Amino acid sequence: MRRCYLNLSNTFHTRARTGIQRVVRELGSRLAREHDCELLVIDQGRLFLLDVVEELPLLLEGRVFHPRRQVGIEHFQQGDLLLDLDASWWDAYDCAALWQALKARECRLVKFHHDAVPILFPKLAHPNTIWRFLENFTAAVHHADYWVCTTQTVARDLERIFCEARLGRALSKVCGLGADLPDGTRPRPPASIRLPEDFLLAVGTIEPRKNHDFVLDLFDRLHKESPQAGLALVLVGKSGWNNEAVLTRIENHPALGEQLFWLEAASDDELAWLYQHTRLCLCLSHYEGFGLPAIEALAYGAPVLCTAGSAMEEVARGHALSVPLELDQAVGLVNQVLTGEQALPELSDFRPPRWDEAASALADVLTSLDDRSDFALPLRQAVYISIRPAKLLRSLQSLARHLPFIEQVVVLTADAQHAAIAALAGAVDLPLRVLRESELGLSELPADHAQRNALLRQRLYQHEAVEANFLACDDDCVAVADVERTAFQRGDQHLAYWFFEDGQRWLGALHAPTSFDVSLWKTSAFLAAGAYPTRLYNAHQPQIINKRLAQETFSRTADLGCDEWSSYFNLGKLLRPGAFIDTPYVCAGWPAPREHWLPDVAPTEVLFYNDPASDGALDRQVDQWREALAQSLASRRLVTPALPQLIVSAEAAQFAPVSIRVPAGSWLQIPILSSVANFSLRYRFAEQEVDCGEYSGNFIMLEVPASAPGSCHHLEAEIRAGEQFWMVQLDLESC
Amino acid sequence: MKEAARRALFQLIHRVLRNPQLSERINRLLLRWAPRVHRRLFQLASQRGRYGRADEPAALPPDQFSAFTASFLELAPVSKPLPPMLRQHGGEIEAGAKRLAALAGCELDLQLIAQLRTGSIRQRRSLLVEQELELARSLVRHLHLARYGKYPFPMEENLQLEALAKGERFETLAPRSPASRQHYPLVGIESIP
Repeated sequence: MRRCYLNLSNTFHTRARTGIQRVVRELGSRLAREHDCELLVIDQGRLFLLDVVEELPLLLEGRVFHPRRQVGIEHFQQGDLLLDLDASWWDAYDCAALWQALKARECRLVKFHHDAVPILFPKLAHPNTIWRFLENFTAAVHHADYWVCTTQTVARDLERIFCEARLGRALSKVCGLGADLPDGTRPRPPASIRLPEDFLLAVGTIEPRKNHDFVLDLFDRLHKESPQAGLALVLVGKSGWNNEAVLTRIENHPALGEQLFWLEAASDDELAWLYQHTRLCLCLSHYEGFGLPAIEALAYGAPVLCTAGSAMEEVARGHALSVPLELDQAVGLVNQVLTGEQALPELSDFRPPRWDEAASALADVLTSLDDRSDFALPLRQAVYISIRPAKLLRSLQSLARHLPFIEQVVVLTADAQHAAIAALAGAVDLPLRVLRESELGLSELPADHAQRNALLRQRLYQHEAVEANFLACDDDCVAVADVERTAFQRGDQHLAYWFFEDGQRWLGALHAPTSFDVSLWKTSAFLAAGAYPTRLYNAHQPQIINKRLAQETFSRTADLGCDEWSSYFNLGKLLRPGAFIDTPYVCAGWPAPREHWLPDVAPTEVLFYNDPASDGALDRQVDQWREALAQSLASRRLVTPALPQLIVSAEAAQFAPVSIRVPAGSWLQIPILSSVANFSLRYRFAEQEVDCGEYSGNFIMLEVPASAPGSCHHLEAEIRAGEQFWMVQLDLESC
Repeated sequence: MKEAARRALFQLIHRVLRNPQLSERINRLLLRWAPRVHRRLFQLASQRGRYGRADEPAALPPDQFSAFTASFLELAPVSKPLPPMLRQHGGEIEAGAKRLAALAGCELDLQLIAQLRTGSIRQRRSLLVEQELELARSLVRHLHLARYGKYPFPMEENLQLEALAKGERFETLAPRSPASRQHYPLVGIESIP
């Protein structure tokens, strides 16, 4: 059974009760008590789970205690979910290391995103906060599978940050907070001050983000304008940071004590009274993630003026007035409110959101992440992108013959090819729906092959014609044997056909990497940065795709130039735990030129053939290809003790191993692994000298001379990195 | 004598302020029972201990800082060996992190901080005090961010610069810092660079 863990380490350590820690207390306690979530606390590098009966009350009371139940990382299982609910950027451990360890165990990370003020408004944040937040946020950008934002405003800003950093898109959901009013308040006026009848109210810590300067400017302007000369301003909130100028301004204000009041610690009863009696509550922060003061004010019946376009305006749902942070406009609007020229929104139907509802909504969001019921919907549709009618026809005919469960086909084609593709409907016994690129809003396509196909597929897979599960096909791939649905779908599990174990070892073509190679490097770097698996999945055979998941993975990797199959399956394995069965690929004909790269697995059975020659029997082509691949793989296995690598770092360069036995006359691919950005390479082998200059390839390719067994050859390489220079040698003995 | 007492007092204050739990407790007590005293102390501390960002000295071009760091320190690389073209085409991910930092107006050397945190450090040569003091100041700030997740207080920063100028080695600076421990290694979890 999958578990959900809530990280509330910061609340445990600080025992704070306001701001984010209030959110953590309210949501955490409800999720633990009513929705069976576990409470995780990390103390001095150790992981503890809190007992809900005995330890949660201590946490809520702000007591100091030592949690009893310590767990190791092995406690967390595939599909478990960590909700990073708290201000974890202040935690005293390496968040990224924790998240990587959890993801290595196939757990999911959901980041509860309160706001991104330190990034959006660095001038409003303390330098230490900026650094801690930035480090935590950057790690979350890479590792978080989903984000939960408190408002649409925060979600939009998160999207903007992702776009500007060009790191794909966040998979985000919005889940609001609660604002229950305290029970049993007995509103009474503040005892320490004598208030005039008309007063404005501003509630919030005195800190730059709350924009008290603007509120004071507004008050001064209103004060100078005679109609509002008797108006008072009450500031409620403790002193925060970087507020010396504002505090000085308050303390030296000529109206202090007469018409300007600052209450540092108003009680709930006093605050309730202030809300109930104010003419207008000013919520004019530069930025709020949610804006609890605005909701509280509205709940007490106070008219609210908030910053236009802010989360406060959003959560007020039309019950608050709003104004841009422009003084003349604000003064004008407040004057109109005070004189009755500006009607106030009706508040009788305003109902503040409750924490119970917020916790239930959050629990629903977390539960929805486990929903893969659509994976079980039967596979019966094949989907193509194609501009080659002849190849497509051959592929469709093979599907009609060998894949009886395919009942319909959707093809996306260029507008110019539409007629030719649509004409295939009469030549194949499958219902064919042909879509034009222009129907999908596609006019200008990227020149890069991999990026163009990714864009076409992304748009196509959103189309209403495409079913929940479908077979994504290449038009140059043909079925060569009878295939059952279970080759792709078994209940609610999908088979994922892979060919290469670790994308971080992908070497590509030697001198002219293809666009496919580049997309695999980008994919592998992206996946590795987020601690996702980095297997490579076959692009040249049909793969079953879940429409909803594909939209998520396309969105997550938007504009990153990733390979869509390897992104889909590697992300999908984390996003839909248990939904995939990894299987070695079953397609012959790929790779075609085997001297460039070899798959890590050879197909044990061949169900498809990639781009077969039009002449010659398919069976014979399959047999020839399998035999050639087997020979290449066997030849690689004959290199002992292991395939050599050239490893370059800032400190050293070396072959590992330094001496090998290798079949005479074979091709040898020696991967280069480097931890430095730039180096140059020159090597000599069998009387040939190659100067690679500033080296940009991934391997050295050698043809071992067809000499007698036991004869020795030497590969000598010179590597220069910055001021470092090394000469290294690999000894090869023919066998 | 007066200067020595002042230094001792501020070192004591820094020890308190660097301990988040203790600092929180003191702050809460003061806030509850003596809010005006709390405010005054906060103002004083703020004036005395104003933080500087590591990128603050405008006269420090990044290239100059990188060149200084490379010549002054020997640092273990944090990234594992990869195929060069994967590193080249995967660089967009690293660049994305830099763009995030730029959004926040932060021009720190993120890779240096990662190296200072996880890798071994060895000082290659002595500091040229006359020419390199500002560069060393920035390096000390990077070290504090790596080790403690905070910028150093000016007093700490100056003490460490003085120590460097007197010939103390960079790799021994951090353990002598009055800053409290901000990062605990996760038990049973390996830090992955």
